[in-house]
Amino acid sequence: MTVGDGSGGHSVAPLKNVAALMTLVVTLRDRPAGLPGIGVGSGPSGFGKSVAAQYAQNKAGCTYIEARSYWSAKTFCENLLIELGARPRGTISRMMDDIIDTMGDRPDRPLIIDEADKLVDKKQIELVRDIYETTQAPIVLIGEEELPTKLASFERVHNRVLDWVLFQPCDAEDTRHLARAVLRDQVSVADDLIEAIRIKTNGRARRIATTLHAVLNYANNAGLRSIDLATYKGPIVSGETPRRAGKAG
Amino acid sequence: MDKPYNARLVGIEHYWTVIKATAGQPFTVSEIAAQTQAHVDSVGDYVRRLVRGGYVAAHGWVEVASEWRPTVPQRARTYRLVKRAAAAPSLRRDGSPGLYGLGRQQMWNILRGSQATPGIDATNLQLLASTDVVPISLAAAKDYLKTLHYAGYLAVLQPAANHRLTVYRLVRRMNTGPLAPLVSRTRGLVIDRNRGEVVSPVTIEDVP
Repeated sequence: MTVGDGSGGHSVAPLKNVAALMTLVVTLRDRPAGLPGIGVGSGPSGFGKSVAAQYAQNKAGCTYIEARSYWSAKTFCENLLIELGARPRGTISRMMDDIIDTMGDRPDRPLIIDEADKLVDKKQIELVRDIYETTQAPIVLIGEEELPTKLASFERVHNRVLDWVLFQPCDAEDTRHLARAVLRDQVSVADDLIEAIRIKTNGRARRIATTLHAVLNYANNAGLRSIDLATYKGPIVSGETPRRAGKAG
Repeated sequence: MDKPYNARLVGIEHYWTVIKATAGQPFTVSEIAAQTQAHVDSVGDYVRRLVRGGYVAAHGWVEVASEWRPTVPQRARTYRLVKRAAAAPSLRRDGSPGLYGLGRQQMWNILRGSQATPGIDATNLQLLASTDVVPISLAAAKDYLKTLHYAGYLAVLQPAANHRLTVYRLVRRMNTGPLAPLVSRTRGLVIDRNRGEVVSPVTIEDVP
């Protein structure tokens, strides 16, 4: 496999999950008046949700926050205000007013909330609904695979979802793109190794990336310029819990 | 209350801070110029871009006294802020958004995010922060990391070695906010727009 030349190829843009989330953000932003403006992206951990979310943040100039499990309603408001470039002060209702004022100034600027299932767990998702109702700004909720199910119990939020994106495992093309991105023009990787990595990692982007870094390391240490399944003796991160090997023999 | 005058902010960042502080009240170009101690033409140029970009709208006219002919009434245009933004919009002359500084903003966003928490090197920063509209070169990623490290934003997790670039991580206390630190090459300064202060004078090596 030969490797891309210019720096233009060094981006996560061609990955399918990244493209799907980007489409969702644009659809929400350009939706006709009257249509709901919340979008949901969900998938298992390590599928590249945060990478896609941050790409959308950079590409579409979104506000981006990552929710934490220990957040209270107050810390949610404070963190969101900081990301909006305002100074958090006062009570929760005062801060909510400030959030709505600031976001209302730029109703075309989408808000991306990563790890949104944590807000659902703590029922702070109602604050998000209030923000949406008053500003009509597009809001994208990103979370683990149970997020859509969890949202179903908040009917008033659920009803306002325009579209759902389910994150998919990397296919062969995605894996090849990641290999190009990680290995650059230092090492060329044969297709059989790339396919083996994709299958063993179940297409999880994070495991693929970790494995590719191991491949790069291995090739550098062994002084190889090209590598295939037969020559690679390093690990492939399958995510299985390590077990003690049986007796030698 | 925000301070009306901040000697450490420069250029459009400074004009924008003062324009934002008008909070929708009409203002004239000379008022902004006086408050920022900038030249009227520089402020006027920026305000025209803001008008074309839809951030500021022409409001009306106001009578002003001319300094050298006090008896002859003069008119000055007044403007009003109609769209706010945290950072000063960087606009071309026709009001369309300029790309200047976007690459650094993209890198700063990644450095603050969860992708960079375990540490990040220039290759990964380039990969994660590049978009198809604003691609980032490896040299630019290296340069920005180096500069932020000099200015005390980043800690080195793993020094560079054979086949391996330096791995950095954002110092938690230096996660000052959403706006990317500005690098002023001519003055050798790093300016934190979130805190509105000069973080540190740095020596910057030119990247070939």
